[in-house]
Amino acid sequence: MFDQFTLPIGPFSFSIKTDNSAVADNLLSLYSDYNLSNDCSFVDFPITITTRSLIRRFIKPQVDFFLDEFAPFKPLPKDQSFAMLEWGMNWCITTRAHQFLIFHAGTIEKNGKVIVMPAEQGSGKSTLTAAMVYSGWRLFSDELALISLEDELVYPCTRPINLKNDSIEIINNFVENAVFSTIAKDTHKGTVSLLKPPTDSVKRIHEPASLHSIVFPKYIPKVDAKLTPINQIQAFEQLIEHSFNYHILGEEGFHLIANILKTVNCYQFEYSDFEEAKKILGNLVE
Amino acid sequence: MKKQKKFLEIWLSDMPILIQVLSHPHLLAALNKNEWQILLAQANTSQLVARINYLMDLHHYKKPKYVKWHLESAYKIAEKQRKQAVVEFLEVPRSLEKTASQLVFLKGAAYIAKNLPCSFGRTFSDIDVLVKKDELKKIETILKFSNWLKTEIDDYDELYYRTWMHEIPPLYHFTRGSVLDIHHNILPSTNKHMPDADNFTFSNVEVENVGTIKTLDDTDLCIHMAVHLFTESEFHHGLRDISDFDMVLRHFQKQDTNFTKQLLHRAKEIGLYDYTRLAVRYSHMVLTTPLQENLLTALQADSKFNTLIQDFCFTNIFKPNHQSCKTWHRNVAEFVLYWRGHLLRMPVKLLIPHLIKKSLMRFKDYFQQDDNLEKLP
Repeated sequence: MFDQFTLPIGPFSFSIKTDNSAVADNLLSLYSDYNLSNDCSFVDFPITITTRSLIRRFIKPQVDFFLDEFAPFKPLPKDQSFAMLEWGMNWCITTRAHQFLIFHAGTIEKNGKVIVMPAEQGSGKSTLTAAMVYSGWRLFSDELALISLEDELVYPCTRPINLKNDSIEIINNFVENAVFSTIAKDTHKGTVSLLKPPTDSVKRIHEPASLHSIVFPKYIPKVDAKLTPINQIQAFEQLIEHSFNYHILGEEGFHLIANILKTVNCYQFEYSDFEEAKKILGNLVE
Repeated sequence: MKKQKKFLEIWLSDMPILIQVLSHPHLLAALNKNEWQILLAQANTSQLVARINYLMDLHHYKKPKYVKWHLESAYKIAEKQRKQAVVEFLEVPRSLEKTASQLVFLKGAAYIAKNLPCSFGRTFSDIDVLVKKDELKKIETILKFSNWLKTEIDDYDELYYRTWMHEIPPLYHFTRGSVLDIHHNILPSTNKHMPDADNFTFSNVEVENVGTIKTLDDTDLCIHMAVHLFTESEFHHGLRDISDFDMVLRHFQKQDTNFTKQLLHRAKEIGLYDYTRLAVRYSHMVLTTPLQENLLTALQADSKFNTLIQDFCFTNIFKPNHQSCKTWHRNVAEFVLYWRGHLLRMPVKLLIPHLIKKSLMRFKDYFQQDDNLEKLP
């Protein structure tokens, strides 16, 4: 038995077909604010998540991810199926959507001003994003910043927030009535759970906004929050490092970053406390 | 004329939409949403999305908004590869200046160097070059010192490459990321035709911002395409490759109406007629490459029976490998061509142990998990 969903996510439309009840249940609970239609207009990414062959269904069951008929990854254990769907959706966007310059970054908006927060895995980017979007900011994404090559606006692709290990508990304490997906243990990123995005962010999923500043966040235990301006050259280098498709866009990407840096300020940001972070980032966009 | 038109209609209704638009690009001007959905899916499995974009641009067709970015994204990837190839036109000869007395760019790189229509929107992974076998050792050493590293392959594959293949295991460049395939002959030494690379004619081309590089001359380039495609056993890029051949043949034929004739003549001369015959025949039968009258009959196999089998297999194998157009015909064709390809490649006493070894390795692979996921956000 297959369940099928059509998910409009910002500039993309996904369809998700699955025989895995965990995927279906998580989709229904985390994507409940989305317009989960069955309207089969043009689908950009037709995805299928299936449980593998009869034998593997009983011995260490595994699931496969397909984009149309293509499986870009080897299978994963069944309890990681929903996390696999989210990773797979990221893969779809970062390998196909070259109408955007794409950064690995948390992306949030307030007062029509977007802050892009590019960072490494494990720097607390998703945790900070989660805390901010449940404190009055709008969620664009916790993983991907999509900057249009056409109009230089940042486009939301609001989806559940990927939290790992200790952050799950931290955010659960910070956000009232937070809705989480089932927890996947022992993934290549440790324990993973996805957090439902704020309803208002989902409602405004089709509203792009202009980039206001770039903040490279770093969580350092017990440190006082501190915002340090960095120069354009440093920012340029770091941005390229955090880009998924700069190498494909080449010249086009170079000019976009150069243009951005003419008007956008860039900062290094150390923090440990959400309240301080809220204040400092809030001041940036006042 | 009327009869011909009727034939065309029947042919069209029977062919997958991707093949229809490749042979008649004007159809791209008026597709609806559903047709685009299927076309895009078929083109994705066939690595031909970027080529569709090229055809749209070539004819100045307006792209519907929902499909525009799909087409153009794919094209950007192809363009990036073109640029990378041009860099290697400069770098590889520079590294091998004193070592290789002969350095010929083949396949995708050659199409780019010659600016052939099929090079636009063509995605490929390796730069292929042909060198002299007796210089191979020196060349490998020099390349190692120029930052070309070995890709990770297992011992069995390495030994197999070294003993039987016409190329060495691929190298990749440590900083530029390009992948280089070094050939010292045209086909594996186990192939029953085993053509000698020295029989091919090379020619120089001027590449903008680079200078002169060496590729195959026009007819031999087509023969090389044919040889490679029709010694395949798995046809993963079958449709892309036959479409390359179709575009190149149309291009040369436009410059010289006698081109196909010369091509077949030249193929006979260097003992590769059979592969070339197949390429011309199926390029015409699948993608309607214009062909002089009577030529199609001349291009049949040696017996009626063989012609029948070949027609069945090749007209089916070049269809997109996608559920929207898959029938049991394809499975039969896959099976027959798999064995045909392997038997062409090596004698049975080598083939059986090789296939057993390979399927064991595949079986082991099935139970392994992916490390690629580590790199995902």
